[in-house]
Amino acid sequence: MRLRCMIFAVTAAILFDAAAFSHHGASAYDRNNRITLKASITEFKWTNPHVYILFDALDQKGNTDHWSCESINPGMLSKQGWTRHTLNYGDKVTIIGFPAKSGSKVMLLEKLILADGKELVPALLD
Amino acid sequence: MRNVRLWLILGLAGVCGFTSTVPAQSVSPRNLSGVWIGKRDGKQVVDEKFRPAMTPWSQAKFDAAVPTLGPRVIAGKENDPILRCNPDGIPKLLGVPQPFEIIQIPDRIIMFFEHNRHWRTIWTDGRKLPDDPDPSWMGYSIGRWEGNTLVVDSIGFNDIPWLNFYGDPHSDAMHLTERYRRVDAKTLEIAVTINDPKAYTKPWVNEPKQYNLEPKWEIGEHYCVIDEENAYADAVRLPAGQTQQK
Repeated sequence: MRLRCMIFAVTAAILFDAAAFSHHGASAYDRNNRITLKASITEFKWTNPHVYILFDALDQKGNTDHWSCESINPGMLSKQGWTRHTLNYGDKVTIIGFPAKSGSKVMLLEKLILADGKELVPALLD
Repeated sequence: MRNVRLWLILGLAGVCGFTSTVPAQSVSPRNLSGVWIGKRDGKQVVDEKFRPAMTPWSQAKFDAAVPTLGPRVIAGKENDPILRCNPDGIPKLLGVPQPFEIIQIPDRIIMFFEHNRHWRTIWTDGRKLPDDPDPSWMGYSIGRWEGNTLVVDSIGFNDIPWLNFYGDPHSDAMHLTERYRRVDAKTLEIAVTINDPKAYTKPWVNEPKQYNLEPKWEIGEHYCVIDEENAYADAVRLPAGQTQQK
């Protein structure tokens, strides 16, 4: 029963999270490839249709890559405590998410860890 | 120990999304007012699982649609009319992952959707549907109570918005029926039936979709602004799908 319950919960979460990005197609992202990047924020776009974060991160050779990372819209993020001040230029954070299948430096946000260790997980509430 | 077990069972039931049939507090089942958002259960308002056979007219429109969800996605080539800031109509608005607010006044019910700040009127003053309404994005809607279920009939739609995120079309001949039922104090249920002989060979009857009440939420500002859409497309949507665009 517990297993069935967990399977149901995980399946529902995946389906609904897909719908959360359905305005623009979350299928562009590789959901089987979770990446973690140490980011330095360059810009925080608190805007519709989707909030996105521009940041720099070092690749394995020590070169700087310029990334963009999208989340859900400001209306739904603000209901979870996010504000337009949540991220600022120069903030050092950890960004966890799923990269674009295209290979572009674009990703879908799963979890953000602020410098003080606070974790922000964008999700629609139930 | 017995209490611990009881709380464990109640907690698991909550996690699994079981709903009680006993209202949490006294509320009129004919009062639908409040801010509602669709449950995270993966259930669709207009579900392709129940889609009847298409007519040649709708099959051609369906084949030309590149949706943002499902197996027919081509990332970077999506052509949902919403991407050009066309309004989403009814019933697609009932399936977006954003809340809507229902306000009831004596002769009408008004629905405010956070998504792109759309709104619609459902007339409950006993009037009939107009004979030949101009095609519109939201259609023309009248509602009546059958017991504790609000039955909403709508006609007068244009044929531009899709029915859902999967590219299923409808025509300007669509007659939409929505059935609203307050299951308990915190839960609303909406069941949608599409009768569109120009597009489908039989009525498209869907199972009810449930919505949670969010008493502390305010409907936020969300407009579709073409400059913002384009900036987002340049920074995120198109690069994310660029290999498929070649």
